[in-house]
Amino acid sequence: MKIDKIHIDGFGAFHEKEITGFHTGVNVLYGKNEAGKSTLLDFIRFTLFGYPRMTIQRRQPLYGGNHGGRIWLSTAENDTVMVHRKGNNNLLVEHNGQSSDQERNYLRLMGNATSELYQNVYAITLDELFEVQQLSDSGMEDRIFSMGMGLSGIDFGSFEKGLIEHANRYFTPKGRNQILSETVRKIEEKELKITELKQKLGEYNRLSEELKQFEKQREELLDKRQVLLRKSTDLENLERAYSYFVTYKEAEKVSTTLAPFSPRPKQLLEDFRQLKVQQTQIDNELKRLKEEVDYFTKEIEQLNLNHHLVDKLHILDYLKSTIKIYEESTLAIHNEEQKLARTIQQVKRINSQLGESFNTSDVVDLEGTFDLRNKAIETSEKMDALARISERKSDEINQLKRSLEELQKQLNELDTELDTLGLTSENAVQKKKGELVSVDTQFQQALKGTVRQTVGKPLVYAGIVGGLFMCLLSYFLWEYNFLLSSISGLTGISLLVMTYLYSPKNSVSERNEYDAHELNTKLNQLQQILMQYDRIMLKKQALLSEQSTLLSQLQHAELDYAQQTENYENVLLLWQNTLTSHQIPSSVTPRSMGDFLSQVEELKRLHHDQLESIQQLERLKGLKNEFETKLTEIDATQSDYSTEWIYHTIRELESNEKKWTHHQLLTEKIQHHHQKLKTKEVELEQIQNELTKLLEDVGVHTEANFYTFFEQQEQATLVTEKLQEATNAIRVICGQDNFESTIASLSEIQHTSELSTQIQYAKESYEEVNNDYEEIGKKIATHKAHIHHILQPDEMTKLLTEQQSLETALHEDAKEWFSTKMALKVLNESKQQFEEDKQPEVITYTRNYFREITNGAYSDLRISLSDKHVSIIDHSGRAKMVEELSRGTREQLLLALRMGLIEEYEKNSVPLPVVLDDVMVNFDIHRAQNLARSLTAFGANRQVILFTCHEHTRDLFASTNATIINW
Amino acid sequence: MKFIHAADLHIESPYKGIRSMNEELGGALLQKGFKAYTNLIDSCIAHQVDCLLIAGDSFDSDSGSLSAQYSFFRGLDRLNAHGIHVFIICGNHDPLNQWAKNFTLPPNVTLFAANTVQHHLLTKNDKVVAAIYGVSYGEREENRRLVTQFSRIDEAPFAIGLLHGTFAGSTHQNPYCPFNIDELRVTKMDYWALGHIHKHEVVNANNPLAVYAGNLQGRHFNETGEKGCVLVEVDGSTILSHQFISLSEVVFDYIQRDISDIHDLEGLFHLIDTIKSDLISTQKAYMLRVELTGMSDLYQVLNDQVELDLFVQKLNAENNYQQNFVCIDRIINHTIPLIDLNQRKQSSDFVGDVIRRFDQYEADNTLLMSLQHEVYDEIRSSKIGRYLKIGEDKDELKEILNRAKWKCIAGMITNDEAS
Repeated sequence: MKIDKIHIDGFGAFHEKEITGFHTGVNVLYGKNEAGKSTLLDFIRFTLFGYPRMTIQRRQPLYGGNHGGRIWLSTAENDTVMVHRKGNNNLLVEHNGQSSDQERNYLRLMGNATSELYQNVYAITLDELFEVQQLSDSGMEDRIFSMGMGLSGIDFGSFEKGLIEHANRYFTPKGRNQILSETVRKIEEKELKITELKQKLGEYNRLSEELKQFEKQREELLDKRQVLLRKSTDLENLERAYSYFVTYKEAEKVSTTLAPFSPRPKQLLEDFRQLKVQQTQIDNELKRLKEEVDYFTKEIEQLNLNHHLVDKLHILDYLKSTIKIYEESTLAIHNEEQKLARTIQQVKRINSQLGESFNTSDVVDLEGTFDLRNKAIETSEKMDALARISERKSDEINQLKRSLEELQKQLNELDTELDTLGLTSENAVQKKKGELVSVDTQFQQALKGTVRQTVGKPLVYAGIVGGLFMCLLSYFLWEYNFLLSSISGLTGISLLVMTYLYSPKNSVSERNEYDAHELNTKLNQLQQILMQYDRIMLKKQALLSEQSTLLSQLQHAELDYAQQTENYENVLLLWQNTLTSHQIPSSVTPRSMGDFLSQVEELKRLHHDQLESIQQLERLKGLKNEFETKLTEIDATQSDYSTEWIYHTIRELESNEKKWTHHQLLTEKIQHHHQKLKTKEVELEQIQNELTKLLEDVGVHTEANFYTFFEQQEQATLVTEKLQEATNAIRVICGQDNFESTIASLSEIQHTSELSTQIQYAKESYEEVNNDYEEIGKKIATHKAHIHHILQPDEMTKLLTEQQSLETALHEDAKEWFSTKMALKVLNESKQQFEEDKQPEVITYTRNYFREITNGAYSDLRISLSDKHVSIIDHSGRAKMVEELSRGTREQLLLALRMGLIEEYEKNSVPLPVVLDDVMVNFDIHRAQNLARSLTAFGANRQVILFTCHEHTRDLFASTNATIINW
Repeated sequence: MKFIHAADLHIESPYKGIRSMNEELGGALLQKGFKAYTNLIDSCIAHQVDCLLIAGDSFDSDSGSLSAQYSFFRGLDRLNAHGIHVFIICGNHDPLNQWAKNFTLPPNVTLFAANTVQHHLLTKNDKVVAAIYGVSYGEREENRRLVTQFSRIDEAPFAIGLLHGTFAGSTHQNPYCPFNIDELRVTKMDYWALGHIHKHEVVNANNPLAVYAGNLQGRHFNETGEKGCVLVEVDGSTILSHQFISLSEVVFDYIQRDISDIHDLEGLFHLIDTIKSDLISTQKAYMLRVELTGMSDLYQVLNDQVELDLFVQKLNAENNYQQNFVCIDRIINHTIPLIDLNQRKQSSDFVGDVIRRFDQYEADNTLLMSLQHEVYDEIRSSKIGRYLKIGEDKDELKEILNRAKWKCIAGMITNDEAS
């Protein structure tokens, strides 16, 4: 198989890159550094054999284009194969015009070679050579071996060694610390412990049987011990009972000597004694009571009680509790009377101020003072306001009147002036005007001939000035008085028009007939008159207008004034109504209402105070009278109940009260004592009766005999008790039912020492048996403890589980060891087979290539895979080790080895393009030339692609007619 | 009338086949194993049953553990205190001749004798409510069809047969005391309380109802799932209900996962850790074997037992055995490698030769056995050989061969090829 063409769509730095011109034999791809040799090499490998699984290794396009590309190949049969593989490993193969995406079919075409195989066999890179150079010498040898087997990327020796070490970790025939041995030892330990624990059942049975025996023995010993204990106890009891036995016998003897009597209860004696004691107590009590009665009686006599006062004692509390009040009342009455007098005076004063017509009761009943006050204020303000307005209006009216008078005066003066001018009527005015016109015309005519301009000019000027003046006046009066302004304006315009019409050219013609000067003078006079008339008229008109205005104003003012007056009267009327409704004198004005109401309030307060004072006086006087009434009960003769007398009386009463209380107390005591005396006497009698009864009961007559009887009885009882006590003690000590036998036994004993001897003997026997019993008890306890321990949850399950677990682990580890050993065996078989079948050929090829490359410097090569030994024979027959070779020679050896391997491989496989990546950098010129020749021969029936960036390499191969592709 | 049917208690029997055993785990499994029996006693008391039926194999007499028997008897004492009757037959693991002589049965316990079927009546409030028929194993191996001895005597409204045996069609390795459905039916029992098979199963649903209770606690990975007992409620002669009650504290189980999308050990760790977290919340302890399938990058790593053991150790590092835990016992690699070996072995290089050689061994049993013998010879004479039984199982031998093959491939093929 050889490459014909390469087209890269997108791969690493390549985009739409095409390389053509490949042939069989050596093809030198010459490119500069960084041209992308390794990228291209990867492209060839990935496209032919598949992209790596890891995306990061796939050389994604850096400059666009679809990831992937195509390679066109030719088979040995000259079939064309186009391989199109994309970056996601999608494959399309065209073989002789037939397309297929089946990887399997394609790989068959490629001789089932894989990417790894291609890498290991067909692709020889400088990196690989460099890597090999870095290895130690032994590593180098190992790598050579690996290469010899087509595992150029693997250190087969190390791999094999690793497997052996791994297996040895698990087991070696004589090893003790390996994993399997260790596990077996642990299993054996567990088995031992399990065996020990299994023996527990037998142990349990044995212990159980022995335990039963011991318990039986213990039962027997217990019985024996109890017997001995009983005997010993009995003897001890006898010993203890011996003293009681003696007592018993003595008591028995005494009892026989006593006379018979019928016993009486001892209680009778107690009762007798108690009664006697009670009797004595009662006697003493009686005596005491009598003495006290006498004493109390005497004390009563000594009291000196005032019986009169005693009758009055019921008043004392009252007097004591109210004396203060009496005193205070007396003082308060005085003060209150004074206060009342003052109040009455003030009331009178205010009444007088208010006036007789105003009834005090009305004042008191007056309500709504607050509203009245407010109303008064309101009314007062209104009235004031109305008054002010009225006054203002009045002033205004007066002012207007005065103005009107003034105007009239001025009008009169103007009329007088008009009279003076003789222009009192309109006809006169017209006439004058006509005259003016006529004179003017004459003057103009006169001026026409001579002094046209000089005569007419001043008039014209005057007319113009006058007209302008009137127009200005009109302008200024426009805002103040329309009528005057209009008149002034019209007048001014008229003057201007007249001035224009009667200008000097017209007046000159008439002057011709008259004397211009005279006419002028007359004209001037007429003009002045008329001007004056106009002035007066203007003024008059102004005054009239003003008059009219003032009249109007006066009228309005008078109307307002009337209205205000009416309003004022209405307010006044309302106020009067208010006064009437509250029954307040009509003289009260709004202004004075405040004072009035203040007085009313004051009057109310005083009236209230007055009433209070009166009430208070009544109450105080009542108290005083009540108190004095009580005093009269004590002493009606007393005229003056002074404070001293009252206090004295109180003291007397208190003293008497005490005496009386004491008297009462004593009297009560005396009565009580008398009662007690009676009771006690009755008790005494009862006791005496009981005593008599007791004496009769016992059968005696006297107290002494009574005591004697009981003494005797006591004695007999004592003896009986002793007897009983001894009997009880003996029964208690020796048993209730054993009394007779005990007495009998003790009767036989002469001395207590006999008993002691017997007791000693019994105790010793008991001790002996007891010791045996305790011994057996210990054995039983020990056995029970052992049994209990056996029955505790033991380690058996844990041991068994651990044993099982260890056996499982042993089994698994043994499998691991087995698999490793199997792997080693199979590898060894393959290795031996390889050495037998393939290695000789590989070595032969390698030797030849090596000789060629080194130009005969090394003639032979010996490699033993099994011995892992490599030696190179130089031309002189000397054997050298790999480590003795120079770097370049080693690389040449490695190259020769790969070439040999390829030769051998292709015996049974499809030849694939061999790719060399700048492998000659460390070759000298001669060796390079040798290699070039060898490669050329090597490439005779195959394709060899050599990447280089060196010009001399390119040129070297060019000289061997290799195909040079610049890219 | 209510009763609980249990069987194959195997109190304090050891756990088997656990690869990831350690001191703590061992202690925890021991406690939980005993707890299952305590749970049985507690269930009887809680449900206020009238009796407990134990259909054989209460403990392993082989283990020689006296404390197992003693623990068993203490549980029976508790039932005695609550007035609950117990009817027991012996099985192949606790035959009558192996019971400790010096343990006294509490008065509430009836232990059936061997060889001949006996029957005992169960009374409640002075009224006979059931008759229980049973027979024990006198010795470990009992191959007779004891079922043929059972025959109902109409003394009670409800009849129960207690039998430790193998149902026809079962593949149990010790098919003791075999029986079939017809033989059960002919006896006219209302309920068959069966023991010997360690999996709860209703062998026949009615006429009669025949049930294997299964054992109380799984002890190895062939006994997966929940274990427990059966609670049966009866009214007169009618079975009102029967329900399985889970008693096991530890559940053995297998988990399968496809790891085609997982490319590194970290991802695998996370996957398995998630499985563990989900199971922790179920309040039971688990012993798991994780079976990995799919086409995976990790095939070679998973074939490396040393790596796998370290991985499993890491997975179990955080387990708290004082409480409920999920322990990964092992990881079973059933993934398919990314390398196409069929294609690879076509090449005539050394690697192809090695692969073909392995294929030959796999195809030829005789060759394989000779390889096995060759390897075994190295170890046979040592004391280790005494414990090993490698290669007796053909499937196992092929697994070992496959592991060997991948060791070679892993060593000889670069990452490019493997990816």
